Amino acid sequence: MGMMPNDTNTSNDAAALFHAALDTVGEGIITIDSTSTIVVVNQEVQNIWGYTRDELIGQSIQLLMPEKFRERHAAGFKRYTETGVPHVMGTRIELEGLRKNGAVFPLEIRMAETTVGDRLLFTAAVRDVTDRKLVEAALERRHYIEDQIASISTKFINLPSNEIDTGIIDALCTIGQLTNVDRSWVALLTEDKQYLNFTHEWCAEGIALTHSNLQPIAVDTTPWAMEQFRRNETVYIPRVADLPPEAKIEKENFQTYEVQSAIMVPIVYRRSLMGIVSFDSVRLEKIWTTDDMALLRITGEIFANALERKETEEAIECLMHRNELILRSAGEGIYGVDLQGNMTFANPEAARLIGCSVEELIGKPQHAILHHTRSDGTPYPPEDCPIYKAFRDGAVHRIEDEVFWRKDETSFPVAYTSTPIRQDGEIVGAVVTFKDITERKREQEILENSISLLSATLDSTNDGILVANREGRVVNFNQVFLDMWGISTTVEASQDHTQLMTQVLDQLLDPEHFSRRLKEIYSNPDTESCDVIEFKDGRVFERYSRSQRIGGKSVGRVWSLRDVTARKHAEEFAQQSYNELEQKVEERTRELRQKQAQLVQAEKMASLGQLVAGVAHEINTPLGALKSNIDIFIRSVHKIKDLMFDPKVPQELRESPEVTKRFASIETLNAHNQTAIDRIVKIVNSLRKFARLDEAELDEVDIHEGLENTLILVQHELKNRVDVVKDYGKLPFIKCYPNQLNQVFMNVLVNASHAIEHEGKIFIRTHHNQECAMVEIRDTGKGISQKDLQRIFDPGYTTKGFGVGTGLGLSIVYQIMKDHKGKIEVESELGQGTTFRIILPIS
Amino acid sequence: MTDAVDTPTVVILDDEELVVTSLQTFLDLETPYHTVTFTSAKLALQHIRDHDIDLVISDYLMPEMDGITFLSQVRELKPDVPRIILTGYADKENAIKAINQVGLFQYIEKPWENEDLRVIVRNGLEKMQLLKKLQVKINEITLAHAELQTLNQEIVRAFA
Repeated sequence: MGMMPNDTNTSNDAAALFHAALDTVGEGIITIDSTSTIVVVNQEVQNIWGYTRDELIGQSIQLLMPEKFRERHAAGFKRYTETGVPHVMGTRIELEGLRKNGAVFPLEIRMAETTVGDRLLFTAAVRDVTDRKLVEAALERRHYIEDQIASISTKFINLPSNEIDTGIIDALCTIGQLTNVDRSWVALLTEDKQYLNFTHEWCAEGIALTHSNLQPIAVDTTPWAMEQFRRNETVYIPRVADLPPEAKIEKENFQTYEVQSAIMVPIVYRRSLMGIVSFDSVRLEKIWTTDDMALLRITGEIFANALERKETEEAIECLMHRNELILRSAGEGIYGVDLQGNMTFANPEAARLIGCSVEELIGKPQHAILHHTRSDGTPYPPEDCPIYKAFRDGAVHRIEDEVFWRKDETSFPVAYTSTPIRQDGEIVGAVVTFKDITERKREQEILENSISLLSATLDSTNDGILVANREGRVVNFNQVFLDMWGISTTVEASQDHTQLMTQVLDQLLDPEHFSRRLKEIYSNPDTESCDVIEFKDGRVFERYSRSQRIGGKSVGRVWSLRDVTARKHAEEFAQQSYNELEQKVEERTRELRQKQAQLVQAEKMASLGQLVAGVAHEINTPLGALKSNIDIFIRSVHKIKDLMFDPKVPQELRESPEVTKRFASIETLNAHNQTAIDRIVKIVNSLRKFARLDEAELDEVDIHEGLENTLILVQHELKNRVDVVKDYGKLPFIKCYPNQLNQVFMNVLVNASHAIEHEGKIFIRTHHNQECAMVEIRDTGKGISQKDLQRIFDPGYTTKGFGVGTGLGLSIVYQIMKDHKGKIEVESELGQGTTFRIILPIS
Repeated sequence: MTDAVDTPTVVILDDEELVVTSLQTFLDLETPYHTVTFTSAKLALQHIRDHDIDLVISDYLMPEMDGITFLSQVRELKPDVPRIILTGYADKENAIKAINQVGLFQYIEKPWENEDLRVIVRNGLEKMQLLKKLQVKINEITLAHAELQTLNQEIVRAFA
């Protein structure tokens, strides 16, 4: 725009006024002519552009616009002057100006067209909108940032957890670029909160990545920054070089990476510091706007949420994975049931136990599939099913005595638990865990069998049994045990140990010893024990105990008590009996020896009898001949003597003294021979009769004959030394064993003879009364001492010295008299003699 | 010796020569009987079979053959001959049994009285003699009877 030339004063005045007015206007006013030459400018134009009015007047308007607008302006200006179609005329448009100092600035322009004379002038009102633009830009940036944040935030929300790390790096990038930093990174606290680990980093182009090289930073080394982080404060470091001394480590760290300024924002989740996000400026010291700072803080929060979500989701995933693993690897069958009774899931073990695939189970009604029939074959109505009951009462149902059915229509005993599943307090189904307990049932049966056997054993034994654990507490016992101690079941049931022990100890003779032993035994759990327990009431128990072991380890002790009172008494009784028996045995032995002696004697006598018989027979033959011959001699001598008186015999011969003498001698000798033969015959007869071989049986005999025969046999003992004086009374025949009785006479007579050392007498007297006959044999011998007198009838007792007598004689006599129901009595006085009385019953 | 036909013969058997001699001597000297002695049962039996004898005395206990057996065989040979056994005391019971079994006339116990022996032998022989006589009479009667029978028949025939 240019000023019109004015020659006149009036016009000069008007021009001056006009300029003054122009200069007061707050907008820049520029008038150009149709050649784009500036003709008028006001003060504001000079202010805006920095040129003086003089420098502008006469210049092309293009001077005031940046290069890029100049051609457009020329083209637009030309078009308008040629076509007259306004384009920008009358409107306000925003353009850019070029200041004298070269700075381009935004401006707002309104243009109007005037014609002064023939000159077409264009006037523009210009406003510098730099300030307004700046505000607008800031606003716009803010909106942009907000948009970015919203975008990042949204992105994070939708991001799957495994992409969160990438998301964070993207976000670091976005914000780094947005805030025009060189590097942005995240460091997270380790779980123990002791270290910061660099986890994410973004770098602008040309900036080295650092965090892969970074070692975790111990939080203790950077207390200055950590302190602020913990207070959830942003640490803003405009100039690293200006960091205070207490931030020495932080400073060194930054300087290592040539960081000039940085801003670090804590990542806090639920008031707990998780880590930090940091934005570093390497190339220049950076001044941060509050908006930026707010942005960074929000970033921190977003990261916190994202990281937290990642952690949670990972945890959940881990949990789910674990659940899955558990389900898969569970040794029990597990399946879920919805409220309709259909199976919602099942683990492989469940399928295996049912004998089908998992897929075959899902969606199927569990009761109809595997629970339709009871073990006894009756149908199992679903309304009774404990699994469904869990829906109704919300309780856990544990069942151990039912069966499940396999796909192949076989069943197996099962233990199962139906646990209701609640969601927000509402029951939505149930989880059933189950186990095939065939094995367990069998083991249980074996166990029950063992237990029943054990308890039957316990109850059937006569011993009291008590089982105690290592601490001496009662575990088990049998009725016999209670009975033995007189313990009532109520006391036992009360398990009152003290009362029990008191009751036990009260009964004992030596309770202290009992307690001491108990202690000893329990302190040596592996030993076996055996004690005798004596009771005050005289009972005696034997107590055995033995360690109860499980897997070689002592877990308690089994006590066994046996009432041996009866046995002990029996033993005492036995001892007593034994003593009595010994006495009896002694007696019997004596009797037996007597019998034996008698037997020996009888045997002897039998042998003797046979011998005698043989001898008698043998003797009788020659004796018979001899006797006959002597008889013949006697007869012959008579005959010859008779013949001698025959007259034919010469007298000289008949009267010859030689013949007479010879005849006399022969007759004498024959007589003697006959006497001798008769005596021999008599002795042999006596021998024979003494032995009475022909009369061994009971017989009625003449006692005197027996005495006489015996006397003949003992004659050699008495001859010329002992005078036998007989005083025989009249005796009836006595029923007896004559040979035995003869022995009695023989023994007594021989003893009497032996008692008489040199010469003496034996008196034999016989008499009888109504009941008995008596033979009294008295000698005048040396007599028997009172001491010996008591024992003379004992077998083996002898005073005659070894080898002389057998000592059996009188004992046999005694026995024979006993057998005859008679008796033998003895009286004796030393030096005076002895009298034996043999008394025999008559009938 | 007297006529052998009238003098009775006594056979004596004992394994002991001693006894045989005593018995024989006594009988020879003090009785009128003829004696034949043996110490062997076999020879005795032979003799008894081949000769007329009137009485047999035998010992009981002999090594070759006991008296009971011997006498039972004698009975078979000469049933009418009285038999006497000579026994020891111990054999008395058996001897008595044998007497009944074998049908002995008597037994004589050792040592014997010669007088007893004489009486027993005489009695035995008398018995023998009586039996013999009885037999003769029976024979005579039988003969007479036979003659009578014949006569009777002749008479019957004569008158027939």
